Amino acid sequence: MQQALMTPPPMSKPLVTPPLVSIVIYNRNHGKYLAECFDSVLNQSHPNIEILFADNASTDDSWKIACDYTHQYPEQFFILRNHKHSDLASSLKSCLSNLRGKYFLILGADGRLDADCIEKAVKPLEAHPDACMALMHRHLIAEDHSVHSEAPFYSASCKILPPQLTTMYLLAEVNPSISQILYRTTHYIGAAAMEGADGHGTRKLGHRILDFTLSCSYAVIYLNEPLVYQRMHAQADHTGFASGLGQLIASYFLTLEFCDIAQQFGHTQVSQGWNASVARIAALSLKYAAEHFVQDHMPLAKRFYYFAAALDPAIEQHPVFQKLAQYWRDPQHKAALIQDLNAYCLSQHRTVSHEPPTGSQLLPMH
Amino acid sequence: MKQAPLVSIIIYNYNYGRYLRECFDSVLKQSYDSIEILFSDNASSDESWEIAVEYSKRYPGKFFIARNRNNFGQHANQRNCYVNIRGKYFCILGSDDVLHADYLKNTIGLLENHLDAGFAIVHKSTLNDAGEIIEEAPFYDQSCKIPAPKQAAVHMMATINATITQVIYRTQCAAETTMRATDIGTRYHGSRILDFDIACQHATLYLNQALVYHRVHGNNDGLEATENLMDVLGSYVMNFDFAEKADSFGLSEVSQRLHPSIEKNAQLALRYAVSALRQSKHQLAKRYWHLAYALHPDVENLPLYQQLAHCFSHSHEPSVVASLLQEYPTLKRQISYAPPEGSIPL
Repeated sequence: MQQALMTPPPMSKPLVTPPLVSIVIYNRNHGKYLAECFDSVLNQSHPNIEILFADNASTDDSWKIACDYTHQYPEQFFILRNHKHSDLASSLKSCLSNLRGKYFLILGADGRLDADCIEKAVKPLEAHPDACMALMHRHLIAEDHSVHSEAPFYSASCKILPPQLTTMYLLAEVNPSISQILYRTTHYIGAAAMEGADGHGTRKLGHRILDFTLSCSYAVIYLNEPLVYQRMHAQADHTGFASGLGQLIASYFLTLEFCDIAQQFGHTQVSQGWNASVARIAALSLKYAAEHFVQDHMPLAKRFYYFAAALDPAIEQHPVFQKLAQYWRDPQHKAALIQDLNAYCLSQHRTVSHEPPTGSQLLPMH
Repeated sequence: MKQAPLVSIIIYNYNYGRYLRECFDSVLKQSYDSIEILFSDNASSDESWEIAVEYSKRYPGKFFIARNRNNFGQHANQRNCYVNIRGKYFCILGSDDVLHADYLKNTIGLLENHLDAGFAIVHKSTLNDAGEIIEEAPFYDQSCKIPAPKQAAVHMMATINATITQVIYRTQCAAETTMRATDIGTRYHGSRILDFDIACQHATLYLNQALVYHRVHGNNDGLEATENLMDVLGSYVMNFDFAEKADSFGLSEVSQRLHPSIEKNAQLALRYAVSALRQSKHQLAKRYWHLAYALHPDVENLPLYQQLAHCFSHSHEPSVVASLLQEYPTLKRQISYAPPEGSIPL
């Protein structure tokens, strides 16, 4: 397979070396997914790829697997291992200072790429030097290994001019994660230098801040085809930050930072999205309240319910809010309420894609 | 006598030209001579940059000045200065703040004598818009050295933290620590996370004299943060960051305080509800009241929670509100605490 790709292209095309692409893979005890992840990168249709692998003090067989691959593909691998468990940022930093690619993508060790992912993302970036990154749609792998894909955020692949993409960051329920982005290395490094010495490769959300900063200044290629696979893991621990209110509080923080950054760039129209964005987070909190109610997690349901009201008092007029309020005043007809709430939760999944924002340029279909 | 070590004073500014001379002068008139000023301006549209240029001409060799082409935020502004620090110690000063003339003499004297201390924290007074000084009780009732990681545990529980100007750092300790300081709240709370990190590993010096004057005015970040619930949400998030950091140092006695610290965040939300009521901001009061429950449902059992409930259900009847306000005083600290066990008086 690899051999076949190395043969020269047909003479009708100019003989240019395809640009080097670096794939940064960070890992903590995802040994059981690692071979699949590495193989998906090694089998890319784009021929010129290096892998920078950082292992964060895994206690499983991850490091052995990485060493085996390095033996087999000595030219393509750079690997490192932290002896002490530290944050994602320090792993990334070590990898970033070693990468040589014109473009790079950061992939979780439990994810993988479609075989033509990099080829499809590199092509428009080569054609549009004003774009800082290619943002692609994704597949989700559930715990039972089934693959899902919701409607893409935008209905077409397109080039989005600055700062139009920033509205997506303020309004999307789920912001794109790092593996969905192929960065142009020079632009990334420029933004990282401006935002902070650590490049904001921070544990929870830093990358989104960097992405937002980039999309304030540069065009972004949006690919509405799902090209990466991300794995969902159940959150066993209900006391942790991420599984409690933390995720919503983190989005709230992000929104605040986004508005702040947009203002710094003089994009006042973006920061006007603040109210809509807070209302969105409150609505999400209400949805979580309904979900927890349906699953009979009453204390958590109530916390999300009150958090919704704390963020946006207007949500008290929402029918779902009022039904919950009514029930907690006078607990009756629980079965009927659960049915209602269930229907509401199902109706909240994204089924339609948005039109690309004004001024976007549609990209040809592959 | 050995030579006094150099101290770098970082001053970051955006459109505070009207306070800038007072700020610079308070540094230049220190009873401690060995200083350099690192000033960065975030594309101010007022006379700030002209003032900085004027001072740097007047005091050659003492000033490093920089100006960003755009306002890239406080973080980028401070970083212009970090890379230029030459001092053995440094502190960061808001350009609207003012130092007491003995700030450096007193803090550096102690830091030079206590080599295990990573930083010194001083008490502060507040300057209002009219230029009046408002005093409050110091956090601890005496100056003391607090061994690591005792002060880290206090950072976790004390919801009202030091402002950035109150801290003077041993450059070497801060440099080791900033390598690790990357967290969600960095943009807002970066320096507090840095302080926590240092306090996990190094002793803290506390000076209960008010050596810094912190200005409070209409444009303060603090006021906006109140409207956005950030005063409470900010420290809530920070506590999770603190706990995680403490665990990474193996300090379980510190991270075990996470649960009580969250309970305290919820109680703080109730006090903000009272404070909003005092300003007749009824909707904001209700939002903080809801937030308290969301953060920690047990607050439901507190008398204050129930009194607020009573108040909201009676549509803010003036007499109900008045008796509540009378019973719960302001957010201002009234008493000083004894230093934590194991501390050494100074």
